[in-house]
Amino acid sequence: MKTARRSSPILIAAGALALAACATVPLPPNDAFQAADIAISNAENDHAADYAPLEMRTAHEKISAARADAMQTDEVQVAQARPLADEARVEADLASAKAHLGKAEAVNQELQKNNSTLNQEIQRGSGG
Amino acid sequence: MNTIKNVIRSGLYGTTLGAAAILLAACAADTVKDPGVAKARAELTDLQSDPRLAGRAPIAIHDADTAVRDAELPQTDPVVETHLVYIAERRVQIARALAQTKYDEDQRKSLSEQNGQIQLDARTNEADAAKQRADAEKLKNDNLQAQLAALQAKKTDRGMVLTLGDVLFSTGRSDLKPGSVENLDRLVTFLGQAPDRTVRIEGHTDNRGGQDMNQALSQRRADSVSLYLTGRGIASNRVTSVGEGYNSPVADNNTDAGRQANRRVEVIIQDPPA
Repeated sequence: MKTARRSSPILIAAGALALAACATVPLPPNDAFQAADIAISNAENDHAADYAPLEMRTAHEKISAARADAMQTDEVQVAQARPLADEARVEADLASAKAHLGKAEAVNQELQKNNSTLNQEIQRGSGG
Repeated sequence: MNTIKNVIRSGLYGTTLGAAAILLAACAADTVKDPGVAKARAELTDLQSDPRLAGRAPIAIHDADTAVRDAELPQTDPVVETHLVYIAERRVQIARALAQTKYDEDQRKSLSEQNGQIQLDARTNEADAAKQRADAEKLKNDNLQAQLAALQAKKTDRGMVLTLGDVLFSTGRSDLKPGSVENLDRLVTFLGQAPDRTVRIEGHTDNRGGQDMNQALSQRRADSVSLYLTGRGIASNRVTSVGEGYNSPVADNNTDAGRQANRRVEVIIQDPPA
């Protein structure tokens, strides 16, 4: 309790800052939109839809929702645009990561398969 | 605490912005931690303590750590809290996937090395097996040569020639005498071990009696030896028998000893086709 009381000027300052931010109509978070667009585009280049279809769909839905929110007049809705765009971006990043992992695993499985096939052939060969 | 809050609240009640009121109401509410934060932190710790993965995606793990820290900060707005947890959870998943990808890529080198090793082993095994086969073949050849020597076969242009004396047969008869077949049994053993050899069996006589009689007798004696061999399992297509009569003497027919030498069966062991 005592700690909280000592930090009270900071709380007041934070409140004032928040109020100042809210006082003007926020601009569309174009930087967040752009970052999400790049992440989605990268994921599509990685064919992420083949490895993480759900994440890709969510990314598309969230960036669309973010853009729609930014067009609204209601400030609360407009304020949701940035977090939605950030979520779209992280979702696309996750889809990309899953695509990379899926491809790496496929290659390794192929190598392992080759090795065990080779081993089997050798064992058959030496048996005969 | 409540007093302070009340002061703040009363000082701001006059503001016209609805958003500010909402924000303040949020400030006044108790901070609640989304259980997802603890879960994200636990998953990150799990990743950081996995020796296979921890060092393999330093940037992604750092980003995940930042995101989890952000989510761990006290939040008053549950919407913000949910959003930060959402980001944190995914940053941790991304870090794990990237570290695992890097791990898989690093494994590839050892998988390729394994492949090379397997092929090398295979070649070594094959070489060893070839040497063993060669050694076995040589041993077998040596063994066969020793057996041929035991048969007292002589090397000629026609192959190895084994001469069986007239002790095999009674005078004028073509059936083998019992107890006289020791050499023939050795021949059977030899032929059993050298399946690529064929034999030509030639019957020979001295010049007493007419040509027709001697021709027929020599043929019957050759046939008799042939029958003995095939009767002991040598394939009949490996054995040919010929009666030569008295046409190929090896000694003087005018002496007893010469005639005895001429009465014989020769077994020609033919070399395998090259």
